[in-house]
Amino acid sequence: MPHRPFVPWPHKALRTPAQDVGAITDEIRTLWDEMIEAMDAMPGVGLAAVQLGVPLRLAVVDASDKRGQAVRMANPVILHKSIELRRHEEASPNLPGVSAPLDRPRAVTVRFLNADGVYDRQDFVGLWATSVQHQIDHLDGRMYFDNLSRTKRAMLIKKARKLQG
Amino acid sequence: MAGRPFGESFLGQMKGEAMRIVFMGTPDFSVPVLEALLAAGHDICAVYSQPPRPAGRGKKDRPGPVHARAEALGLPVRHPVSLKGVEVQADFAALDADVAVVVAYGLILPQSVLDAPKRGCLNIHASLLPRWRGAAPIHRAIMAGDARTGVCVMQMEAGLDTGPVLLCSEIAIEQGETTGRLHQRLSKLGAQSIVDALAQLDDLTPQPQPDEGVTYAAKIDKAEARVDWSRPASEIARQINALSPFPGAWTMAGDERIKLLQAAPAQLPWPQGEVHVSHNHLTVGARPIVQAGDPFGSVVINRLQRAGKKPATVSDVLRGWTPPHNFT
Repeated sequence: MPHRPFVPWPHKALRTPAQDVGAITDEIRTLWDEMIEAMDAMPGVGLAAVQLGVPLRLAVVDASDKRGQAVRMANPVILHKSIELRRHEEASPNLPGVSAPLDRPRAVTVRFLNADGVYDRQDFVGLWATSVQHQIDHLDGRMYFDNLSRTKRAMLIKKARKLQG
Repeated sequence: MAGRPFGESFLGQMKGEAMRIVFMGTPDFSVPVLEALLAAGHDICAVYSQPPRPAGRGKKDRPGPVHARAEALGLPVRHPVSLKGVEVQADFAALDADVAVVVAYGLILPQSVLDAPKRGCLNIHASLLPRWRGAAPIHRAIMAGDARTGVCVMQMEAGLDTGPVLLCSEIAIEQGETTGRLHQRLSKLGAQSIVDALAQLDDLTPQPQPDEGVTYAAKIDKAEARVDWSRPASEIARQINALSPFPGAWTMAGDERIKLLQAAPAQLPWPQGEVHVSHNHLTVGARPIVQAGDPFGSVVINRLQRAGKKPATVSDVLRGWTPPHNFT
């Protein structure tokens, strides 16, 4: 089943904080499946619902070696961040063709509503942690490049515009 | 039918009677066929194989896979350089065989050889004839993006893979399947098909090949192997999988020539040739989306081989190598 398309930045959904999810319904489960499909087609290591234009606090993350180990989360909140940082070249299908290296905490502890509809608490390390933080940025209406300096951010957007012609 | 075990299991299943067979084959593809015929209880009176060629370290003459296996099995092996000579043809006829089974032998059989066995010569061809007649049917099927392929057992004629077909078995080509893997699956399927065909030889009616749908699988030319990142992503992925493991599609990573061995098209568009490193794969930009029907903009590389190293998964290669920003 094809997934709905990625909305192009600066779509409103990408710049507005998303809504909390009340309960895990079948509708939410279907949406998670669609998000995993979109993530695998990129391929990427995570996806937030807002990237498909759905303004809900839903994310999927899969940085496993063999794939197929996606963690489904709703209403994720970071409880703890490590002091040690990790650098990763981040990118987004919502502004294709560009990427930028970003330093983020190497490990995070996250609380979220899991696929069974109960609150769960989980530690993420390395690429998993980078991806979770990148998705939570999305749910707060921020893109990864909103963490860059003003000049670097402007250069990145300009480059992306040029690629689109 | 695919995946039925070989070996002893066939002994109890003999339907037809044991035949006196000349086996003609050279590469790896033919070995499981030879083994299946033996296991089915047939009498292999001679094995024809191409003469030993220089190969491997030291470039000494080495016997081909069929030649080596046949000797290990204690079968008489003949390896004439050509079958055109009168003497060679007389030797062949003197075998007084019921049938000759020809699988990727690599030499042209003259009419007198085709006529010598009582029930003619049967050939196993790795495609659904008349599609992909010729030398490289497996490569071409993957390169063309075919969804299905198979093996056909045909009665040989003088023309190139034009003979009437006795039996065909079909299988689906898997997503991202390489020639290497499909080759193994078709080789097993071919072994099973020939055993089945021989068992029912009296009941099978050879069907002439239709005139429509004929395509030719030209030999793979090494000049086809370089990746052109300005091509569409799905086409590049098919090229990489079709040429894997041999000769291997390649690209330049800086000054280093690397072989790309397993790939899939992906959605994320990147500038052409630009390399993006992930934890277990590389994503390389290809021609951006032109038609709406093709949602792919980049190629994901899962396996590669650096110059002078062994083939490995990208996650292994990345432990100790930082690829350049661009492949050219």
